[in-house]
Amino acid sequence: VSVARTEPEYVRAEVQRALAADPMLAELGVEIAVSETAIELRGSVATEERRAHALELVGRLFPDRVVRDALRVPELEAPTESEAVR
Amino acid sequence: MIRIAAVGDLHLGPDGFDAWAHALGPVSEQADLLLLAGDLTRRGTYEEGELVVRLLERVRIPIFAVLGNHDHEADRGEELAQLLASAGVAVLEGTYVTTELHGTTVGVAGAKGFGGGFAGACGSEFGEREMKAFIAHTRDRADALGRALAALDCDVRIALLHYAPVDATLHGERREIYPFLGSYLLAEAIDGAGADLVVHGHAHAGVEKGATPAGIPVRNVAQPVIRAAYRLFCFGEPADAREAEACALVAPSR
Repeated sequence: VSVARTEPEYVRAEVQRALAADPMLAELGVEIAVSETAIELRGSVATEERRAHALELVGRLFPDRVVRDALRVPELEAPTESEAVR
Repeated sequence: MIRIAAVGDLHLGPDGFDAWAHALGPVSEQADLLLLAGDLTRRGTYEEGELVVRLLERVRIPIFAVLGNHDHEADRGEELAQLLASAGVAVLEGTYVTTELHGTTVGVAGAKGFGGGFAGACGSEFGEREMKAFIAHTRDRADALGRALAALDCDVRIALLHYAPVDATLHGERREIYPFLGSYLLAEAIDGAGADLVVHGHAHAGVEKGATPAGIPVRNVAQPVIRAAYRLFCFGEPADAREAEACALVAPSR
């Protein structure tokens, strides 16, 4: 196994590249935390489908690490208030 | 009184279409104008552009937009802009558009903007040609935005961007990536020309409210930040109780 596949810093970079390159995700804004045994994804993605896809993708890339889900899908409703600018 | 809705970073794909269609439903009743602050698509493909057109077809108020970096990923930004324009969306890039709403003239100058960082921690046009090109692009877009804003002779003037013009709306993002999230050159151009409001997106982990050094309110309307389909901004006094209710006023703030 190459160093690039095991060192947390390189694993983190590889996950970042994979999330950006995946056509369903094109995701640049996910925060990635890597330990010796786990990868945690944090931040927001637009849909539940993308959340599930991101977790599945990372699990497939690094099957030897547990993938933890700290992602959120932001609420998407019309607002109930407004701001007076001037 | 006029009401302006604004949102950025829809990142629309087939999986998000129904939720967006539902969430944008009330916008034509709640607002007089819709501003889109870039990243309408995930990767800027023609198919995603068609999806955006289908989504916006249901909106019955004028729509002014800028593109974002995701809309350029497939290197078809111009085609995407034309597609949106054919559907009636004014896509701004160093340009402006004006409209009259309830007797108030509104001008919106827009540009995608670009990165480079903020004063004291920013790139400069120095060294390799790639580095010069990076900052020169930001400067060029900032200058175009400034000229477009300066040309506006309207009651309400708004600057519409994708990238952030100030770092105040980036708090929550990692500081290391600030230079990829915006540039002070954009704020400098806006302060030079003047505006009533600046709207941007791009910084998903940032905060909503900031101001330029000259005190112009800056609002980060990236969808993950506002956690709503759009933000509403009111200008002018409500004409009657009904308007006042329609614009449940939140105290002016920076």
